[in-house]
Amino acid sequence: MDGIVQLQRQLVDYTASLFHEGFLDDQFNQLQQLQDESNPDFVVEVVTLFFEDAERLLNELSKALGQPSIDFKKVDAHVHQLKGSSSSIGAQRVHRVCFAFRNSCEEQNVEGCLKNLQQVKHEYSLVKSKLETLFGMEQQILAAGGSISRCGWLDATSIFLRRQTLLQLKGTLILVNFFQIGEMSPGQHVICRQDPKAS
Amino acid sequence: MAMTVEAQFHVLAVDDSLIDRMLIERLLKISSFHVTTVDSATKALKFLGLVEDELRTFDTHVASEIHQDIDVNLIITDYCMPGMTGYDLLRKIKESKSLKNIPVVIMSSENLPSRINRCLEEGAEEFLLKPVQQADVNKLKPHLLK
Repeated sequence: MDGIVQLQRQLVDYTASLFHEGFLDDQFNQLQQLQDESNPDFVVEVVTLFFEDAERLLNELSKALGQPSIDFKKVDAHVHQLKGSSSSIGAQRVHRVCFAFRNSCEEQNVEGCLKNLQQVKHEYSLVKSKLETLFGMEQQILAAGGSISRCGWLDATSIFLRRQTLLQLKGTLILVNFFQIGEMSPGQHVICRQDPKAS
Repeated sequence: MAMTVEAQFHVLAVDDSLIDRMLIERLLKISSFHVTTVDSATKALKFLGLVEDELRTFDTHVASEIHQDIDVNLIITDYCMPGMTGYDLLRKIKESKSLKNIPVVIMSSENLPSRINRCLEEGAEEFLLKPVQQADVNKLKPHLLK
């Protein structure tokens, strides 16, 4: 049991760091909220789709920007899609670079576009690797017989606590079962009740 | 546990992005809506029973001959879509005798007042900024056609 708690704690810390460093934003919390027993793989499914979509778009962008005569409308359309999907999963840094990228397209600035493409590729590969690490940690916990804690807390501006999660209460980590209780702020006092209420 | 049998509201969600379709579907299902998703405005119109001929003539007499058991209580559509946009779809729905009373909600990633006003003026009930969240979906129930 100790080993699982340790893994869970690492997951919580790692997740918090991703928010803290701006890789993920609140939308990722929203995604996690949509996952439950009836849809246990929702987050992984959506994020996997994002990876596929992003890779396709990055390829298209490389091709489009490699043309002798660049079709900026086409480039902008691809960036618009990438901007949308990154925003939908909470990949904040990727989303941010897309703003600059669209500006470069508007200005028909080739150098700007090429630079932005490199930036977005870089941010994408970073967030991909981070999320893969995150999912790997979750798999470890599940394999060890534990459950996944869902909370982007302390460093996130919006905090959603859900189902079974690890709660830091007066310095001690305890595993609790409860229902979604809405938004909380960092450092907010929480009262835990032992109440075996059925879902 | 008591079993309650409730008529479910049926929402038609239109978005060319697969990721966004997945998200909106999940959000709507969590709120107990029955959901149909399509990836284009054209497919949405087909689903609603307005087929190709009607798109050109808006001949509602012909439209009424096509018997559709589809009962849609709300349409939620993305604004920016290739081909027919969400705005075009909104207009077609509002111009159709058989469909104009179905509430339409527009989603967009861009917060442009001119766009928002255009949509509201054309009869959209709400304009939601993407990414759409649970709180946004909670706003929809009051708009539903009974």
